Amino acid sequence: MALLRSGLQRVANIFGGTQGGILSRFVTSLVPSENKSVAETSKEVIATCNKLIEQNASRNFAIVHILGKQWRVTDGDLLVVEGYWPPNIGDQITLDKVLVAATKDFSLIGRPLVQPGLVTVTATIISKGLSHTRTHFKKKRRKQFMRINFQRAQQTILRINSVEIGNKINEGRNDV
Amino acid sequence: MSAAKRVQQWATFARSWHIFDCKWQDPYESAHVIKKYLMGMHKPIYHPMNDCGDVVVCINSREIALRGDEWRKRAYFHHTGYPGGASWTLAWELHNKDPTMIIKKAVYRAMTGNLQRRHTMQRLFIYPGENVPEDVLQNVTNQIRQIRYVPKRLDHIPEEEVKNYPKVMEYPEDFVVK
Amino acid sequence: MVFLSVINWARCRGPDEFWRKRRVFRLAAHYIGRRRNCYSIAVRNVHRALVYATKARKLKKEDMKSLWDVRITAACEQHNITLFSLREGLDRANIMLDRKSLSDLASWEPKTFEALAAVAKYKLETDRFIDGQDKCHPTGINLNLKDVMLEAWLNEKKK
Repeated sequence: MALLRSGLQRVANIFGGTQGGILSRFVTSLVPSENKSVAETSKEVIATCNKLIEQNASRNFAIVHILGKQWRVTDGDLLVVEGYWPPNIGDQITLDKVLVAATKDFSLIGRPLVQPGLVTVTATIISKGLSHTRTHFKKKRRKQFMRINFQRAQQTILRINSVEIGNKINEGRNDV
Repeated sequence: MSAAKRVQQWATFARSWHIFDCKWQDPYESAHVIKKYLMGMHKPIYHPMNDCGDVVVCINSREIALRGDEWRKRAYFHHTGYPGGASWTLAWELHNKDPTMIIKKAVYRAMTGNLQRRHTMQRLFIYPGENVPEDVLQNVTNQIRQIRYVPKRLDHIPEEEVKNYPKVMEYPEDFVVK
Repeated sequence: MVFLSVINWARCRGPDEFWRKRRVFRLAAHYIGRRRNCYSIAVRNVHRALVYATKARKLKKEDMKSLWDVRITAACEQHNITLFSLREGLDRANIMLDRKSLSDLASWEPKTFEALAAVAKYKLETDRFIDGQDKCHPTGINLNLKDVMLEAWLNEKKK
C-alpha cells in the first residue's frame, strides 16, 4: 500500500502557501498531485485519511504530554509517571494534550496540540505509590563534611486503554 | 517473534559497507565523517552499546592532503617503553613509511577512548591506492561523499583543451612569467 | 535545673557499633575481596559509590540528551536538514516536540519524522530563514550557494 502522509491540512492552511509544497511530498502514488492546486490536494488527502480512519486499518499511536514529559503511547501501554498527580487509583481519564497522533499511513501533527476532540487517549490509573529510595549523599574529602538525605518520589502507573482518532479531520478546524 | 519481524530485525542491524575516497581530503576532517559511519552514528537507532556500526573502506590514502605546512610540522610520537625510547616521526616521514598510517591514526583519535574503539577500528579498511581486493569491493554498497571538492589539475587536462580555452589577452612578448 | 536529657543526647554515640557497621556492610555486600569484609576499606568504597550515584542521576539526564541529539542528527541527515534548522523550523511552526519524542519518532516512526522534517523545511522556506550553520558536508554541484548568498545579501540591503 502506498504510504500517504498528510503533514496535516492545517499546516497548509496556515502557511497559505501557493504551491502544494508540503502535501505533495507525502502523497506518493495514491494521488497524482503535481498538477493540482493546494485546495484539491489537501481535500483529497483529508478524504483518504478519513476513509482510513473509518476502516480502522492499523493501530494508532499518539504523543501525549503528561506532567511535563512527552510520551509516545499506543494501546495497552504502561506508563510510570513521576511526581505529584491528583488522579486516584481506578480513575478513567482522558489525556487531552496530544501533540502528535498517527497511524501507519498518515500522521496528524498538532501546533502545538491536535484540535481537541479529534484524538481521544483514554487511560486508567493502575497504582499509585512511591519510587525506590534515592540516596542523596554528599561528602567532601578532608573537610569533615558529610550529608545524607533520602528521597522518594510519588509514582503513578497508567495503563493506556485506547488511542482513537475521531473520524472528522475536516471539521472544526478554526479552533486550532 | 514472527518470521517477518525477525527478518526486519536482521535487516535493521545488518552491516552495510561504505567506500570513502581519501584523494585530496584532509584526514583529520574526514576522520570525523568516517568515525560517524564506523560507530553507526548516522543511524537513528544509534546507541553506544548496540552494535550498529558499519564497515568503511578508504581508498587512495596515499593522496591525502594536509593543511598548510603540516607535512613538515606535525610529529607523531611513539615511546618504546625503555628509557630514551621516545621518538618523533614527522608526518611526511610516516607517510613515506606507511601511507595508510596517518588516516588510521586520525580516525583512531577521533573516537573516544573506550574498550569498543579497537573493535570498531577493525571495521576500517584502508588501501593506499585504488587496488581493493575483489572480496572487499563486492560488499560495498554506498559511497561516502567527499568533504572537499577535488580540483582538476592543469597538467591532467588534455593539452588541446587548454590551448583552445578562450583567453582574455595574450601575454606581451617581453613579459617574464615568474 | 538539670538538663538530663540533653546531656544524655550529647553523650549518645548513635547505635551500637555492630549495627552501625552492618549498615555499611549491607551496601558493600556485592563487592569483591577486602572491600566487602574490612570495615575501614568498605566504608570508603561505599561512600564513594554513594557520591557517584548522587552525581550520576544528573549525568544520566545529560547523557540521554546527547544521545537523543545524536539520533536526531542522524535522522535529519537522511532528510538533508540540520538539527538546528529542524528545531528552529518546528519552533516557528509552533510544534513543541522535545528531544525525547523526536528521537523516538526518528527511530520508530520514520515516516512521521519525515513529515516533521518537511514541515520544518517548508516553514523555514516561507519565513525566508537561512540556516547560517555550516553544513560542512556537501560542497557539491547541487548546492546552489551563489543564489542563496545573493538572496541573503538582498534581504540585508532592504533593511
